[in-house]
Amino acid sequence: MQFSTMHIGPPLDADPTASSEPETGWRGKALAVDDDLANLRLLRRMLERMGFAVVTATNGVEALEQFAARRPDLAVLDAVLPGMDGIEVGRRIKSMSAAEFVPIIFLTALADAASIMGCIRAGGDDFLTKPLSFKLLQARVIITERFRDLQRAMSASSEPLHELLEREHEEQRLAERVFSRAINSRNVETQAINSMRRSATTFNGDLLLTQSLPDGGLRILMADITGHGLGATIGALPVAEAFHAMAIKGVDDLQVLEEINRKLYATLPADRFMAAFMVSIAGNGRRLTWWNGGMPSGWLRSRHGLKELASHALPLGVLTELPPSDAPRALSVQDDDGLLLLSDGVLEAVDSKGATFGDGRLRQHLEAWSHGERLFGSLLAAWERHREGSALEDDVALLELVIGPALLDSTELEIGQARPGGWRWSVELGSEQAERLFPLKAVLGPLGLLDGLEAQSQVLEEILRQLYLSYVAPGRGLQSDPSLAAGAIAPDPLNILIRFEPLPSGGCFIIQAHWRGVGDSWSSGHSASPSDSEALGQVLGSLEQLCRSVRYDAGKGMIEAHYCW
Amino acid sequence: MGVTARSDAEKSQVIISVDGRFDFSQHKVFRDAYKDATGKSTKFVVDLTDASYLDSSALGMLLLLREFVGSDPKRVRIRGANEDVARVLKIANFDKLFTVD
Repeated sequence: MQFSTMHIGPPLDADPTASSEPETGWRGKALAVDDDLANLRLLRRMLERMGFAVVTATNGVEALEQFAARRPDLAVLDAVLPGMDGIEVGRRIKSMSAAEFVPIIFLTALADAASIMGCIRAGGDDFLTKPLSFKLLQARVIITERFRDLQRAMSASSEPLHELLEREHEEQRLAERVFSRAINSRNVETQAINSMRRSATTFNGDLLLTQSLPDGGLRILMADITGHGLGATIGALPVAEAFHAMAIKGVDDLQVLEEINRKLYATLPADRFMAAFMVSIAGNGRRLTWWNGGMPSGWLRSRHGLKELASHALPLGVLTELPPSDAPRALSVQDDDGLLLLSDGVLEAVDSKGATFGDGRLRQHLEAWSHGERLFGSLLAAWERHREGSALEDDVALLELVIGPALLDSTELEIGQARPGGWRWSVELGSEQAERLFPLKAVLGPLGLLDGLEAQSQVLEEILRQLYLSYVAPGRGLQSDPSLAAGAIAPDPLNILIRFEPLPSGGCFIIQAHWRGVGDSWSSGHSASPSDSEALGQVLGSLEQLCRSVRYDAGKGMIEAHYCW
Repeated sequence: MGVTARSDAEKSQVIISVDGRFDFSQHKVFRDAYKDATGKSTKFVVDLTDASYLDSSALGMLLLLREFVGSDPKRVRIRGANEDVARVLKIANFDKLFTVD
């Protein structure tokens, strides 16, 4: 605080600040800082007596230099120093030693609340008022050492925890791949369905299953197991098995629900259950059976208007047997009637201000939905705009089904089953090569693949162009990102698979596009920017104009379009 | 915020009031509110007047309470749910399991 004018007692050290490299005492190294040399010497003696090797400094700058060079285990600072004051020095020392805990004890002249608060706010762990007393200093040192030991013990025990967590995540990712293959591999692909599924965590508690019925009909199960993550997904496996096996055999809806209910009741703990929406459409496309246990309302858009398919049953896995009132219900339907199913994650997705997408916004879309039109693309785009890339808190599933003849040829479009006269062609292109796809005629024509398909090749070209545009969309593509254009970062390659399936009169193109961005940023919800989601919405919207069906599968990181004639 | 339980020995009933968000964070306190009730005929009232939100893990907690009373729908009443909370209970059709006022 001030230079001492007089000193009584043993002679001063020649220069207390110019100490030679001290030997570390048994208790560790302490930094003592005071501009009053007499005080400093006293402090040094006391600390040495406690067993510290002591490093000293008489001003703030020197204190920080000493701290950086010697890494002491304890700092005792005068709160008031010339130049940079002690409080500021304390703050900087704390920020320099964030990783390990270095206790700071402040020395103050005044014990008033304001001075003490200033010391503590700056990161001080304790304080002492002058004049110094050995006993009090010793007590403070012991207390701060206890803090330090506790801190060290805690950080030592959390380190293996971090490692464990990392390994756990890795195993979850592996298990997820195994599970999704087991659960989704048996789904039938059909042009009648547009669907989207996304997970809040690695595992998706929302289930979307599709299977054909022996009469050529189709059965769909959208379900939401309580909770997220592994616990939710484990219950999904027996459900998927029962669903597929029983649909293929043509077992009726009620029996399937009863069987799934029994399985879940036996496997899930008492506080877990599965909300589910099951729909079956008969092979003649005239009858729809539905069952809603605990899911948000489904919606049927027929010629006569909009019908709400509200939850009428308990979720599955709650009771040993389904009560009689919980039986499936039936409706008659016609071609071009549309069905919309959603999980509550769609309604609960929040925007940056915390407002949910909600029933109100869904209502607006439902009211604007005219018969025979598809709702999926515009609804998904609006939903993406709403949540503006903020992280998902719940798993999400959305599905639209259009009733019509397309339902019936669903199983003919299995991947890998090329029929006579059909072909498949695939390519992986780096971003700088992707533009060479165009004109597509010049690529496929010489191979003879477009022979007899000249009339359709223009549409095929347009579909691919839409997919390509989203690949180079702002925020991900090379055209808009100078660092990519400069070759600084290698962007993800674009994978394209085109299949041609001849049908008795006409045929279908199935175009799949994937690159890392499709599944990654659009699905995880963490890194997606609004421009990404808008790009997705636009692409899906324009593809719907061109195609019979568009499927966006976030899990596989893929957009698939079916164009048939 | 939280769960409070009030015992009414005369009516042999326990009133469990939930304040704020009824979600997984209330799991332990909610169970503690009923687990020591001994009487075979003790009735429970879950008062949701001050509950602002209810999620599927809260539905799970209600199922555990239902299990505790031997699945007797008359022994658990749920009352006071606001519009949002009532909608969640309605969608889950919990009026088939509990007496919902």
